[in-house]
Amino acid sequence: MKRRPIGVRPPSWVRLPEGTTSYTPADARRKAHVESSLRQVFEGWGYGQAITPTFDFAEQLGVGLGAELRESMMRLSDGSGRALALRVDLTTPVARLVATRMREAPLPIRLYYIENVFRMEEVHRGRRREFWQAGVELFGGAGAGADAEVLILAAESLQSLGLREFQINLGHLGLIRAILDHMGIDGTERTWVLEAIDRKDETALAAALRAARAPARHAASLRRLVGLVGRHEALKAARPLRTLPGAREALARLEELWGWIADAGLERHVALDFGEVRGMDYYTGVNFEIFAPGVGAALGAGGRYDRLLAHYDMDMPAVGCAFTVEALLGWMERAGVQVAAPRRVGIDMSVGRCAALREAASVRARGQVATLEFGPPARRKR
Amino acid sequence: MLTVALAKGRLEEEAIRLFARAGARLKPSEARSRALVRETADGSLRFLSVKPADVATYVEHGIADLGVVGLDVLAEREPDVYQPLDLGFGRCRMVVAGPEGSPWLHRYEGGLRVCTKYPGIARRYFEGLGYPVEIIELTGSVELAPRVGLAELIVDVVETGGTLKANGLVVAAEIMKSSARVVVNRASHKVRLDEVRLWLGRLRKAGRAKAGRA
Repeated sequence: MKRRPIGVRPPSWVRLPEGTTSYTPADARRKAHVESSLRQVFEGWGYGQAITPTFDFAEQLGVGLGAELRESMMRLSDGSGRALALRVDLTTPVARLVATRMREAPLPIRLYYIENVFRMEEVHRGRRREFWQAGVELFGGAGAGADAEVLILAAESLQSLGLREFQINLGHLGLIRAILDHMGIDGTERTWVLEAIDRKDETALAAALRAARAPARHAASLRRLVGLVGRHEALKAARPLRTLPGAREALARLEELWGWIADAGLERHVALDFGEVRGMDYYTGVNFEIFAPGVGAALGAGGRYDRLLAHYDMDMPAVGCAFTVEALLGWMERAGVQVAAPRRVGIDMSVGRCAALREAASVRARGQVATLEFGPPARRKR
Repeated sequence: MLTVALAKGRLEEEAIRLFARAGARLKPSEARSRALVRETADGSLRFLSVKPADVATYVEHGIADLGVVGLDVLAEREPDVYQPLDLGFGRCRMVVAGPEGSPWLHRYEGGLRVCTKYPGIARRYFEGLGYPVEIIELTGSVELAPRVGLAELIVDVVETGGTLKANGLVVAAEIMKSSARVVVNRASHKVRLDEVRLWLGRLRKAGRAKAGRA
Protein backbone atom coordinates (compact mmCIF):
# COMPACT_ATOMS: atom_id res chain seq x y z
CA MET A 1 0.00 0.00 0.00
CA LYS A 2 1.48 3.29 -1.06
CA ARG A 3 1.28 6.17 1.42
CA ARG A 4 0.81 9.76 0.44
CA PRO A 5 3.64 11.92 1.82
CA ILE A 6 2.43 13.96 4.79
CA GLY A 7 2.47 17.73 4.65
CA VAL A 8 1.96 18.09 0.94
CA ARG A 9 -0.91 20.44 0.09
CA PRO A 10 -2.33 21.48 -3.25
CA PRO A 11 -1.23 24.94 -4.40
CA SER A 12 -3.13 27.84 -2.85
CA TRP A 13 -4.98 28.82 -6.04
CA VAL A 14 -6.94 25.54 -6.06
CA ARG A 15 -10.68 26.01 -5.46
CA LEU A 16 -13.87 23.98 -5.72
CA PRO A 17 -17.05 26.09 -6.13
CA GLU A 18 -19.44 25.90 -3.21
CA GLY A 19 -22.21 23.38 -3.58
CA THR A 20 -20.31 21.14 -6.01
CA THR A 21 -18.35 17.98 -5.42
CA SER A 22 -15.82 15.69 -7.06
CA TYR A 23 -16.16 11.94 -6.67
CA THR A 24 -13.22 9.65 -5.99
CA PRO A 25 -13.53 6.10 -7.38
CA ALA A 26 -14.82 4.83 -4.00
CA ASP A 27 -17.55 7.52 -3.90
CA ALA A 28 -18.28 7.10 -7.57
CA ARG A 29 -18.70 3.33 -7.17
CA ARG A 30 -21.38 3.88 -4.51
CA LYS A 31 -23.12 6.41 -6.71
CA ALA A 32 -22.94 4.10 -9.72
CA HIS A 33 -24.38 1.30 -7.59
CA VAL A 34 -27.37 3.47 -6.62
CA GLU A 35 -27.92 4.53 -10.19
CA SER A 36 -27.64 1.05 -11.67
CA SER A 37 -29.97 -0.39 -9.02
CA LEU A 38 -32.59 2.24 -9.76
CA ARG A 39 -32.07 1.92 -13.51
CA GLN A 40 -32.70 -1.81 -13.26
CA VAL A 41 -35.97 -1.25 -11.39
CA PHE A 42 -37.10 1.51 -13.75
CA GLU A 43 -36.32 -0.56 -16.85
CA GLY A 44 -37.90 -3.62 -15.26
CA TRP A 45 -41.18 -1.71 -15.11
CA GLY A 46 -40.88 -0.84 -18.79
CA TYR A 47 -39.53 2.69 -18.50
CA GLY A 48 -37.18 3.93 -21.21
CA GLN A 49 -34.44 6.44 -20.64
CA ALA A 50 -34.94 10.06 -21.65
CA ILE A 51 -31.92 12.31 -22.10
CA THR A 52 -32.53 16.05 -22.29
CA PRO A 53 -30.17 19.03 -22.68
CA THR A 54 -28.08 20.11 -19.70
CA PHE A 55 -28.74 23.72 -20.60
CA ASP A 56 -31.81 25.09 -22.27
CA PHE A 57 -33.77 28.28 -22.85
CA ALA A 58 -34.58 29.64 -19.41
CA GLU A 59 -38.21 30.26 -20.30
CA GLN A 60 -38.58 26.67 -21.54
CA LEU A 61 -37.16 25.26 -18.33
CA GLY A 62 -39.47 27.46 -16.27
CA VAL A 63 -42.70 26.04 -17.73
CA GLY A 64 -44.92 24.90 -14.87
CA LEU A 65 -42.32 25.54 -12.17
CA GLY A 66 -42.93 27.54 -9.00
CA ALA A 67 -41.23 30.89 -8.42
CA GLU A 68 -38.60 29.45 -6.08
CA LEU A 69 -37.24 26.98 -8.66
CA ARG A 70 -37.39 29.54 -11.46
CA GLU A 71 -35.38 31.97 -9.37
CA SER A 72 -32.79 29.32 -8.55
CA MET A 73 -31.70 28.88 -12.20
CA MET A 74 -28.05 29.38 -13.08
CA ARG A 75 -28.39 31.62 -16.08
CA LEU A 76 -26.17 31.89 -19.14
CA SER A 77 -26.42 33.87 -22.32
CA ASP A 78 -26.29 32.43 -25.82
CA GLY A 79 -24.47 35.52 -27.07
CA SER A 80 -27.46 36.97 -28.93
CA GLY A 81 -29.38 38.07 -25.87
CA ARG A 82 -31.47 34.95 -25.37
CA ALA A 83 -31.41 33.75 -21.78
CA LEU A 84 -30.21 30.20 -21.31
CA ALA A 85 -30.05 28.32 -18.01
CA LEU A 86 -28.88 25.02 -16.60
CA ARG A 87 -31.75 22.62 -15.93
CA VAL A 88 -33.20 22.81 -12.41
CA ASP A 89 -35.54 19.87 -12.78
CA LEU A 90 -36.20 17.03 -15.23
CA THR A 91 -39.99 16.81 -15.30
CA THR A 92 -40.46 19.86 -17.53
CA PRO A 93 -37.79 18.88 -20.10
CA VAL A 94 -39.14 15.32 -20.18
CA ALA A 95 -42.68 16.64 -20.62
CA ARG A 96 -41.45 18.73 -23.55
CA LEU A 97 -39.87 15.62 -25.08
CA VAL A 98 -43.29 13.96 -24.91
CA ALA A 99 -44.92 17.06 -26.38
CA THR A 100 -42.49 17.22 -29.29
CA ARG A 101 -40.67 14.11 -30.55
CA MET A 102 -43.07 11.70 -28.83
CA ARG A 103 -46.29 13.58 -29.51
CA GLU A 104 -47.69 10.76 -31.63
CA ALA A 105 -46.27 7.90 -29.54
CA PRO A 106 -48.76 5.30 -28.30
CA LEU A 107 -49.87 5.76 -24.69
CA PRO A 108 -48.95 5.26 -21.96
CA ILE A 109 -45.45 6.64 -22.31
CA ARG A 110 -43.03 5.53 -19.59
CA LEU A 111 -39.80 7.53 -19.28
CA TYR A 112 -37.02 7.63 -16.74
CA TYR A 113 -33.98 9.83 -16.24
CA ILE A 114 -30.83 9.88 -14.14
CA GLU A 115 -29.33 13.33 -14.58
CA ASN A 116 -27.68 16.18 -12.73
CA VAL A 117 -29.58 19.37 -11.99
CA PHE A 118 -28.30 22.80 -10.98
CA ARG A 119 -29.81 25.19 -8.47
CA MET A 120 -28.44 28.36 -6.90
CA GLU A 121 -29.24 27.13 -3.40
CA GLU A 122 -28.02 28.86 -0.29
CA VAL A 123 -25.11 26.54 0.37
CA HIS A 124 -24.84 27.44 4.03
CA ARG A 125 -27.87 25.23 4.48
CA GLY A 126 -25.78 22.29 3.37
CA ARG A 127 -27.52 22.05 0.03
CA ARG A 128 -25.75 21.16 -3.15
CA ARG A 129 -25.87 23.41 -6.18
CA GLU A 130 -25.28 20.46 -8.46
CA PHE A 131 -26.95 17.20 -7.56
CA TRP A 132 -28.39 14.13 -9.24
CA GLN A 133 -31.99 13.16 -9.68
CA ALA A 134 -33.25 9.72 -10.66
CA GLY A 135 -36.91 9.55 -11.50
CA VAL A 136 -39.76 8.26 -13.64
CA GLU A 137 -42.66 9.92 -15.42
CA LEU A 138 -45.74 8.03 -16.57
CA PHE A 139 -47.75 9.89 -19.22
CA GLY A 140 -51.25 8.99 -20.35
CA GLY A 141 -52.47 7.10 -17.29
CA ALA A 142 -55.19 8.89 -15.35
CA GLY A 143 -56.35 6.13 -13.02
CA ALA A 144 -55.39 4.97 -9.56
CA GLY A 145 -53.42 2.18 -11.25
CA ALA A 146 -50.97 4.72 -12.68
CA ASP A 147 -50.59 6.39 -9.27
CA ALA A 148 -50.05 2.97 -7.73
CA GLU A 149 -47.49 1.94 -10.35
CA VAL A 150 -45.28 4.94 -9.58
CA LEU A 151 -45.66 4.51 -5.82
CA ILE A 152 -44.90 0.77 -5.85
CA LEU A 153 -41.98 1.35 -8.22
CA ALA A 154 -40.61 3.95 -5.79
CA ALA A 155 -40.84 1.47 -2.92
CA GLU A 156 -39.15 -1.24 -5.01
CA SER A 157 -36.38 1.20 -5.90
CA LEU A 158 -35.58 1.67 -2.22
CA GLN A 159 -35.80 -2.05 -1.52
CA SER A 160 -33.37 -2.70 -4.38
CA LEU A 161 -30.82 -0.63 -2.44
CA GLY A 162 -31.39 -2.63 0.72
CA LEU A 163 -33.44 0.09 2.39
CA ARG A 164 -35.99 -1.74 4.55
CA GLU A 165 -37.22 1.01 6.86
CA PHE A 166 -38.76 3.80 4.86
CA GLN A 167 -41.99 5.72 5.01
CA ILE A 168 -43.99 7.12 2.15
CA ASN A 169 -46.21 10.01 3.28
CA LEU A 170 -49.10 10.05 0.85
CA GLY A 171 -51.59 12.88 0.52
CA HIS A 172 -53.99 14.44 -1.93
CA LEU A 173 -53.98 18.21 -2.39
CA GLY A 174 -57.59 18.03 -3.60
CA LEU A 175 -58.84 17.86 -0.02
CA ILE A 176 -57.30 21.07 1.28
CA ARG A 177 -58.11 22.73 -2.03
CA ALA A 178 -61.75 21.67 -1.70
CA ILE A 179 -62.12 23.17 1.78
CA LEU A 180 -60.38 26.42 0.82
CA ASP A 181 -62.52 26.74 -2.33
CA HIS A 182 -65.66 26.01 -0.34
CA MET A 183 -64.77 28.71 2.17
CA GLY A 184 -64.00 31.11 -0.67
CA ILE A 185 -60.49 31.81 0.62
CA ASP A 186 -58.26 33.08 -2.17
CA GLY A 187 -55.55 35.60 -2.97
CA THR A 188 -53.28 36.73 -0.16
CA GLU A 189 -55.39 35.08 2.53
CA ARG A 190 -55.05 31.73 0.78
CA THR A 191 -51.27 32.23 0.68
CA TRP A 192 -51.22 32.91 4.44
CA VAL A 193 -53.29 29.83 5.19
CA LEU A 194 -51.08 27.63 2.99
CA GLU A 195 -47.88 29.04 4.51
CA ALA A 196 -49.16 28.34 8.02
CA ILE A 197 -50.07 24.76 7.03
CA ASP A 198 -46.67 24.31 5.40
CA ARG A 199 -44.94 25.28 8.67
CA LYS A 200 -47.45 23.33 10.79
CA ASP A 201 -47.83 26.60 12.69
CA GLU A 202 -51.18 26.21 14.43
CA THR A 203 -51.13 29.71 15.90
CA ALA A 204 -50.55 31.27 12.50
CA LEU A 205 -53.16 29.00 10.88
CA ALA A 206 -55.79 30.04 13.41
CA ALA A 207 -54.89 33.70 12.86
CA ALA A 208 -54.95 33.34 9.06
CA LEU A 209 -58.35 31.64 9.16
CA ARG A 210 -59.69 34.40 11.42
CA ALA A 211 -58.29 37.05 9.08
CA ALA A 212 -60.01 35.31 6.16
CA ARG A 213 -63.30 35.27 8.11
CA ALA A 214 -63.52 31.51 7.62
CA PRO A 215 -66.76 29.99 8.92
CA ALA A 216 -65.95 28.26 12.22
CA ARG A 217 -67.23 24.86 11.12
CA HIS A 218 -65.06 24.71 8.00
CA ALA A 219 -62.07 26.26 9.75
CA ALA A 220 -62.30 23.50 12.33
CA SER A 221 -62.52 20.78 9.68
CA LEU A 222 -59.47 22.23 7.88
CA ARG A 223 -57.48 22.29 11.13
CA ARG A 224 -58.52 18.70 11.83
CA LEU A 225 -57.62 17.59 8.32
CA VAL A 226 -54.10 19.02 8.30
CA GLY A 227 -53.29 17.18 11.54
CA LEU A 228 -54.51 13.88 10.16
CA VAL A 229 -51.80 11.23 9.70
CA GLY A 230 -52.29 7.50 9.79
CA ARG A 231 -52.92 4.33 7.82
CA HIS A 232 -56.31 3.40 6.37
CA GLU A 233 -58.13 4.81 9.42
CA ALA A 234 -56.99 8.34 8.47
CA LEU A 235 -59.06 7.96 5.33
CA LYS A 236 -62.13 7.08 7.39
CA ALA A 237 -61.49 10.11 9.59
CA ALA A 238 -61.49 12.32 6.50
CA ARG A 239 -64.80 10.91 5.20
CA PRO A 240 -67.00 13.75 6.50
CA LEU A 241 -65.35 15.94 3.84
CA ARG A 242 -66.88 13.89 1.01
CA THR A 243 -69.79 16.31 0.71
CA LEU A 244 -67.46 19.02 -0.65
CA PRO A 245 -67.01 19.25 -4.42
CA GLY A 246 -63.59 17.86 -5.33
CA ALA A 247 -63.06 16.16 -2.00
CA ARG A 248 -65.25 13.19 -2.91
CA GLU A 249 -63.06 12.35 -5.92
CA ALA A 250 -59.89 12.80 -3.86
CA LEU A 251 -61.12 10.43 -1.14
CA ALA A 252 -62.33 7.87 -3.66
CA ARG A 253 -58.95 7.97 -5.40
CA LEU A 254 -57.06 7.48 -2.14
CA GLU A 255 -59.40 4.62 -1.17
CA GLU A 256 -58.71 2.88 -4.47
CA LEU A 257 -54.98 3.55 -4.21
CA TRP A 258 -54.93 2.14 -0.68
CA GLY A 259 -56.29 -1.13 -2.11
CA TRP A 260 -53.28 -1.27 -4.44
CA ILE A 261 -50.93 -0.45 -1.57
CA ALA A 262 -52.40 -3.26 0.53
CA ASP A 263 -52.16 -5.73 -2.36
CA ALA A 264 -48.52 -4.72 -2.90
CA GLY A 265 -47.82 -5.44 0.77
CA LEU A 266 -46.75 -1.86 1.37
CA GLU A 267 -49.27 -0.82 4.07
CA ARG A 268 -46.51 -0.81 6.66
CA HIS A 269 -44.57 1.74 4.62
CA VAL A 270 -47.32 4.18 3.72
CA ALA A 271 -48.75 6.89 5.98
CA LEU A 272 -51.68 8.92 4.74
CA ASP A 273 -50.77 12.51 5.54
CA PHE A 274 -53.18 15.33 4.80
CA GLY A 275 -51.03 18.08 6.27
CA GLU A 276 -48.70 18.80 3.34
CA VAL A 277 -49.25 21.58 0.82
CA ARG A 278 -45.91 21.47 -0.97
CA GLY A 279 -46.25 21.73 -4.71
CA MET A 280 -49.84 23.02 -4.41
CA ASP A 281 -49.46 24.99 -7.64
CA TYR A 282 -48.04 21.97 -9.46
CA TYR A 283 -49.59 18.70 -8.30
CA THR A 284 -53.19 18.11 -9.25
CA GLY A 285 -53.89 14.86 -7.42
CA VAL A 286 -52.07 12.48 -5.11
CA ASN A 287 -48.61 13.50 -3.95
CA PHE A 288 -46.07 11.85 -1.72
CA GLU A 289 -42.69 12.26 -0.03
CA ILE A 290 -40.35 9.48 1.08
CA PHE A 291 -38.46 9.51 4.37
CA ALA A 292 -36.11 7.16 6.23
CA PRO A 293 -35.15 7.13 9.91
CA GLY A 294 -31.94 9.04 10.56
CA VAL A 295 -32.08 11.02 7.32
CA GLY A 296 -33.08 14.63 7.95
CA ALA A 297 -34.56 15.36 4.53
CA ALA A 298 -36.84 13.59 2.07
CA LEU A 299 -35.18 10.93 -0.10
CA GLY A 300 -37.60 11.60 -2.89
CA ALA A 301 -41.01 12.88 -3.80
CA GLY A 302 -43.67 12.46 -6.42
CA GLY A 303 -47.25 12.96 -7.45
CA ARG A 304 -49.79 13.58 -10.16
CA TYR A 305 -49.51 16.65 -12.39
CA ASP A 306 -52.28 16.47 -14.96
CA ARG A 307 -52.02 20.10 -16.07
CA LEU A 308 -48.34 20.41 -17.06
CA LEU A 309 -48.84 19.07 -20.58
CA ALA A 310 -51.60 21.64 -21.16
CA HIS A 311 -48.75 24.16 -21.56
CA TYR A 312 -47.89 22.21 -24.73
CA ASP A 313 -51.53 22.09 -25.91
CA MET A 314 -51.87 18.46 -24.90
CA ASP A 315 -54.54 16.99 -22.67
CA MET A 316 -52.35 14.41 -20.99
CA PRO A 317 -52.54 13.07 -17.44
CA ALA A 318 -49.16 12.39 -15.86
CA VAL A 319 -47.70 11.07 -12.65
CA GLY A 320 -44.08 10.72 -11.61
CA CYS A 321 -41.55 10.65 -8.83
CA ALA A 322 -37.88 11.43 -8.36
CA PHE A 323 -35.17 10.52 -5.90
CA THR A 324 -32.24 12.70 -4.90
CA VAL A 325 -29.27 10.42 -5.48
CA GLU A 326 -27.16 12.22 -2.84
CA ALA A 327 -29.88 11.66 -0.22
CA LEU A 328 -29.84 7.93 -1.00
CA LEU A 329 -26.04 7.93 -0.77
CA GLY A 330 -26.31 9.70 2.58
CA TRP A 331 -28.64 7.01 3.84
CA MET A 332 -26.28 4.24 2.60
CA GLU A 333 -23.33 5.84 4.34
CA ARG A 334 -25.24 6.18 7.62
CA ALA A 335 -26.60 2.67 7.39
CA GLY A 336 -23.10 1.33 6.65
CA VAL A 337 -24.13 -0.31 3.38
CA GLN A 338 -20.95 -1.29 1.57
CA VAL A 339 -20.58 -1.67 -2.15
CA ALA A 340 -17.92 -4.30 -2.70
CA ALA A 341 -15.16 -3.42 -5.11
CA PRO A 342 -14.42 -6.16 -7.63
CA ARG A 343 -11.42 -8.36 -6.79
CA ARG A 344 -8.17 -7.00 -8.20
CA VAL A 345 -5.48 -9.30 -9.51
CA GLY A 346 -2.03 -7.86 -10.14
CA ILE A 347 -0.37 -9.27 -13.27
CA ASP A 348 3.38 -9.74 -12.94
CA MET A 349 4.97 -8.41 -16.11
CA SER A 350 8.22 -10.25 -15.51
CA VAL A 351 6.71 -13.39 -17.09
CA GLY A 352 6.92 -11.59 -20.44
CA ARG A 353 4.47 -9.35 -22.26
CA CYS A 354 2.57 -12.02 -24.23
CA ALA A 355 2.02 -14.28 -21.24
CA ALA A 356 1.13 -11.37 -18.98
CA LEU A 357 -1.45 -9.94 -21.40
CA ARG A 358 -2.96 -13.41 -21.93
CA GLU A 359 -3.17 -13.90 -18.16
CA ALA A 360 -4.74 -10.45 -17.70
CA ALA A 361 -7.36 -11.18 -20.37
CA SER A 362 -8.32 -14.46 -18.73
CA VAL A 363 -8.65 -12.76 -15.31
CA ARG A 364 -10.95 -10.12 -16.84
CA ALA A 365 -12.92 -12.83 -18.61
CA ARG A 366 -13.75 -14.21 -15.14
CA GLY A 367 -15.26 -10.83 -14.28
CA GLN A 368 -12.35 -9.77 -12.13
CA VAL A 369 -10.03 -6.81 -12.40
CA ALA A 370 -6.52 -7.25 -13.77
CA THR A 371 -3.94 -4.52 -13.27
CA LEU A 372 -0.55 -4.60 -14.94
CA GLU A 373 2.26 -4.42 -12.36
CA PHE A 374 5.35 -2.87 -13.88
CA GLY A 375 7.65 -3.36 -10.94
CA PRO A 376 8.12 -1.88 -7.46
CA PRO A 377 5.91 1.19 -6.79
CA ALA A 378 7.56 4.44 -7.79
CA ARG A 379 8.44 6.77 -4.90
CA ARG A 380 6.71 10.10 -5.07
CA LYS A 381 8.85 13.19 -5.01
CA ARG A 382 8.19 15.62 -2.21
CA MET B 1 -34.72 9.43 22.51
CA LEU B 2 -35.39 12.73 20.77
CA THR B 3 -32.67 15.34 20.39
CA VAL B 4 -33.61 18.95 21.14
CA ALA B 5 -31.43 21.91 20.11
CA LEU B 6 -31.81 24.85 22.51
CA ALA B 7 -30.80 28.43 21.76
CA LYS B 8 -28.17 29.33 24.34
CA GLY B 9 -28.87 32.36 26.45
CA ARG B 10 -32.14 33.81 27.63
CA LEU B 11 -34.32 31.15 26.00
CA GLU B 12 -32.39 28.11 27.16
CA GLU B 13 -33.10 28.25 30.89
CA GLU B 14 -36.73 29.08 30.27
CA ALA B 15 -36.96 26.14 27.86
CA ILE B 16 -35.27 23.73 30.29
CA ARG B 17 -37.78 24.76 32.97
CA LEU B 18 -40.66 24.22 30.56
CA PHE B 19 -39.40 20.76 29.60
CA ALA B 20 -39.05 19.94 33.31
CA ARG B 21 -42.69 20.93 33.90
CA ALA B 22 -43.58 18.80 30.88
CA GLY B 23 -41.97 15.81 32.59
CA ALA B 24 -38.39 15.81 31.27
CA ARG B 25 -35.99 16.73 34.05
CA LEU B 26 -32.25 16.91 33.51
CA LYS B 27 -30.10 14.32 35.24
CA PRO B 28 -29.25 15.86 38.63
CA SER B 29 -25.57 15.65 37.80
CA GLU B 30 -26.17 17.73 34.66
CA ALA B 31 -28.70 20.27 35.90
CA ARG B 32 -26.06 22.90 36.51
CA SER B 33 -23.54 21.52 34.10
CA ARG B 34 -22.21 23.66 31.30
CA ALA B 35 -21.85 20.64 29.06
CA LEU B 36 -23.11 21.25 25.54
CA VAL B 37 -24.93 17.90 25.50
CA ARG B 38 -27.19 17.00 28.40
CA GLU B 39 -29.72 14.23 28.95
CA THR B 40 -32.90 14.01 30.92
CA ALA B 41 -33.00 11.65 33.90
CA ASP B 42 -35.49 9.33 32.19
CA GLY B 43 -33.40 9.22 29.02
CA SER B 44 -36.28 10.46 26.86
CA LEU B 45 -34.62 13.64 25.63
CA ARG B 46 -31.14 14.90 24.84
CA PHE B 47 -30.50 18.64 24.81
CA LEU B 48 -27.87 20.38 22.68
CA SER B 49 -26.82 23.91 23.63
CA VAL B 50 -26.10 25.85 20.46
CA LYS B 51 -26.02 29.46 19.34
CA PRO B 52 -29.50 30.77 18.50
CA ALA B 53 -28.76 31.16 14.80
CA ASP B 54 -27.55 27.54 14.69
CA VAL B 55 -30.68 25.92 16.18
CA ALA B 56 -32.41 25.89 12.81
CA THR B 57 -29.28 24.42 11.19
CA TYR B 58 -29.19 21.46 13.57
CA VAL B 59 -32.90 20.86 13.11
CA GLU B 60 -32.91 21.37 9.35
CA HIS B 61 -30.16 18.75 8.97
CA GLY B 62 -31.98 16.33 11.24
CA ILE B 63 -29.15 16.23 13.82
CA ALA B 64 -31.75 17.55 16.26
CA ASP B 65 -35.38 16.45 15.93
CA LEU B 66 -36.71 19.48 17.80
CA GLY B 67 -35.44 22.94 18.58
CA VAL B 68 -36.38 25.96 20.66
CA VAL B 69 -35.51 29.30 19.09
CA GLY B 70 -36.91 32.81 18.69
CA LEU B 71 -39.14 33.64 15.74
CA ASP B 72 -36.79 36.57 14.99
CA VAL B 73 -33.96 34.13 14.26
CA LEU B 74 -36.26 31.92 12.16
CA ALA B 75 -37.51 34.89 10.15
CA GLU B 76 -33.93 35.84 9.34
CA ARG B 77 -32.82 32.36 8.24
CA GLU B 78 -36.12 31.08 6.77
CA PRO B 79 -35.14 27.44 7.42
CA ASP B 80 -37.12 24.54 5.98
CA VAL B 81 -38.52 23.28 9.30
CA TYR B 82 -41.94 23.00 10.89
CA GLN B 83 -42.85 25.65 13.47
CA PRO B 84 -45.78 24.08 15.28
CA LEU B 85 -45.72 25.76 18.67
CA ASP B 86 -45.44 29.29 20.06
CA LEU B 87 -44.10 28.96 23.61
CA GLY B 88 -44.98 32.53 24.48
CA PHE B 89 -41.82 33.39 26.38
CA GLY B 90 -38.79 35.31 25.15
CA ARG B 91 -41.07 37.98 23.77
CA CYS B 92 -39.47 40.83 21.85
CA ARG B 93 -40.16 43.06 18.86
CA MET B 94 -38.19 43.49 15.64
CA VAL B 95 -38.18 47.21 14.95
CA VAL B 96 -36.76 49.94 12.78
CA ALA B 97 -35.22 52.61 15.02
CA GLY B 98 -33.51 55.91 14.42
CA PRO B 99 -32.24 58.95 16.33
CA GLU B 100 -34.91 60.81 18.25
CA GLY B 101 -36.44 63.57 16.17
CA SER B 102 -35.01 62.20 12.94
CA PRO B 103 -37.30 62.39 9.93
CA TRP B 104 -38.78 59.05 8.87
CA LEU B 105 -38.04 57.23 5.61
CA HIS B 106 -39.74 59.37 2.98
CA ARG B 107 -37.89 62.45 4.14
CA TYR B 108 -34.53 60.99 3.24
CA GLU B 109 -33.27 61.86 -0.21
CA GLY B 110 -32.01 58.38 -1.07
CA GLY B 111 -28.76 56.99 0.23
CA LEU B 112 -30.44 55.69 3.38
CA ARG B 113 -28.26 53.24 5.27
CA VAL B 114 -29.54 50.64 7.72
CA CYS B 115 -27.34 48.74 10.17
CA THR B 116 -28.56 45.38 11.46
CA LYS B 117 -27.74 41.89 12.64
CA TYR B 118 -30.74 40.77 10.59
CA PRO B 119 -29.91 41.65 6.96
CA GLY B 120 -32.51 39.25 5.54
CA ILE B 121 -35.40 40.67 7.56
CA ALA B 122 -34.23 44.24 6.91
CA ARG B 123 -33.86 43.68 3.17
CA ARG B 124 -37.29 42.07 2.83
CA TYR B 125 -38.92 44.81 4.89
CA PHE B 126 -37.49 47.71 2.92
CA GLU B 127 -37.99 45.88 -0.40
CA GLY B 128 -41.61 45.51 0.62
CA LEU B 129 -41.84 49.27 1.13
CA GLY B 130 -40.30 49.78 -2.29
CA TYR B 131 -37.64 51.91 -0.67
CA PRO B 132 -33.99 51.79 -1.72
CA VAL B 133 -31.70 51.32 1.26
CA GLU B 134 -28.19 50.11 1.79
CA ILE B 135 -28.15 47.28 4.34
CA ILE B 136 -24.97 47.10 6.43
CA GLU B 137 -24.56 43.90 8.40
CA LEU B 138 -23.06 44.13 11.91
CA THR B 139 -22.66 41.37 14.46
CA GLY B 140 -23.41 43.41 17.60
CA SER B 141 -23.83 46.83 19.28
CA VAL B 142 -26.00 47.94 16.40
CA GLU B 143 -27.34 50.88 18.42
CA LEU B 144 -23.97 52.58 18.08
CA ALA B 145 -24.18 52.93 14.30
CA PRO B 146 -26.52 55.96 14.00
CA ARG B 147 -24.63 57.85 16.71
CA VAL B 148 -21.34 57.62 14.90
CA GLY B 149 -22.71 58.05 11.40
CA LEU B 150 -22.39 54.51 10.02
CA ALA B 151 -26.12 54.46 9.27
CA GLU B 152 -29.26 56.55 9.56
CA LEU B 153 -31.43 53.71 10.90
CA ILE B 154 -31.10 50.32 12.53
CA VAL B 155 -33.20 47.15 12.45
CA ASP B 156 -32.93 45.23 15.71
CA VAL B 157 -34.84 43.38 18.40
CA VAL B 158 -36.00 45.26 21.46
CA GLU B 159 -37.34 43.83 24.70
CA THR B 160 -37.73 46.82 27.01
CA GLY B 161 -36.38 49.58 24.81
CA GLY B 162 -33.77 50.50 27.44
CA THR B 163 -30.79 50.07 25.16
CA LEU B 164 -32.41 52.14 22.43
CA LYS B 165 -33.19 54.94 24.87
CA ALA B 166 -29.71 54.94 26.34
CA ASN B 167 -28.37 55.52 22.83
CA GLY B 168 -30.84 58.25 21.90
CA LEU B 169 -32.86 56.05 19.53
CA VAL B 170 -36.62 55.71 19.17
CA VAL B 171 -38.74 53.08 17.45
CA ALA B 172 -39.82 54.23 14.00
CA ALA B 173 -41.74 51.11 12.95
CA GLU B 174 -42.42 47.59 14.17
CA ILE B 175 -41.56 44.85 11.66
CA MET B 176 -42.73 41.83 13.66
CA LYS B 177 -43.35 40.43 17.12
CA SER B 178 -41.22 37.52 18.22
CA SER B 179 -41.34 34.81 20.88
CA ALA B 180 -39.82 31.37 21.43
CA ARG B 181 -40.94 28.71 18.95
CA VAL B 182 -40.61 24.96 18.87
CA VAL B 183 -39.26 23.87 15.49
CA VAL B 184 -39.34 20.30 14.20
CA ASN B 185 -37.31 18.56 11.51
CA ARG B 186 -39.56 17.55 8.62
CA ALA B 187 -38.36 13.95 8.46
CA SER B 188 -38.59 13.51 12.25
CA HIS B 189 -42.15 14.76 12.15
CA LYS B 190 -42.86 12.01 9.62
CA VAL B 191 -40.95 8.99 10.87
CA ARG B 192 -41.17 9.70 14.63
CA LEU B 193 -44.58 11.31 14.65
CA ASP B 194 -45.84 9.68 17.87
CA GLU B 195 -42.88 10.86 19.96
CA VAL B 196 -42.92 14.33 18.39
CA ARG B 197 -46.64 14.72 19.01
CA LEU B 198 -46.32 13.45 22.56
CA TRP B 199 -43.78 16.14 23.40
CA LEU B 200 -45.58 18.91 21.53
CA GLY B 201 -48.70 18.05 23.51
CA ARG B 202 -46.85 17.99 26.83
CA LEU B 203 -45.13 21.30 26.10
CA ARG B 204 -48.40 22.91 25.07
CA LYS B 205 -50.02 21.73 28.29
CA ALA B 206 -47.09 22.79 30.48
CA GLY B 207 -47.04 26.20 28.81
CA ARG B 208 -50.78 26.69 29.32
CA ALA B 209 -50.58 25.60 32.96
CA LYS B 210 -47.99 28.26 33.61
CA ALA B 211 -49.88 30.96 31.74
CA GLY B 212 -52.90 30.10 33.88
CA ARG B 213 -50.96 30.63 37.11
CA ALA B 214 -49.38 33.89 36.05
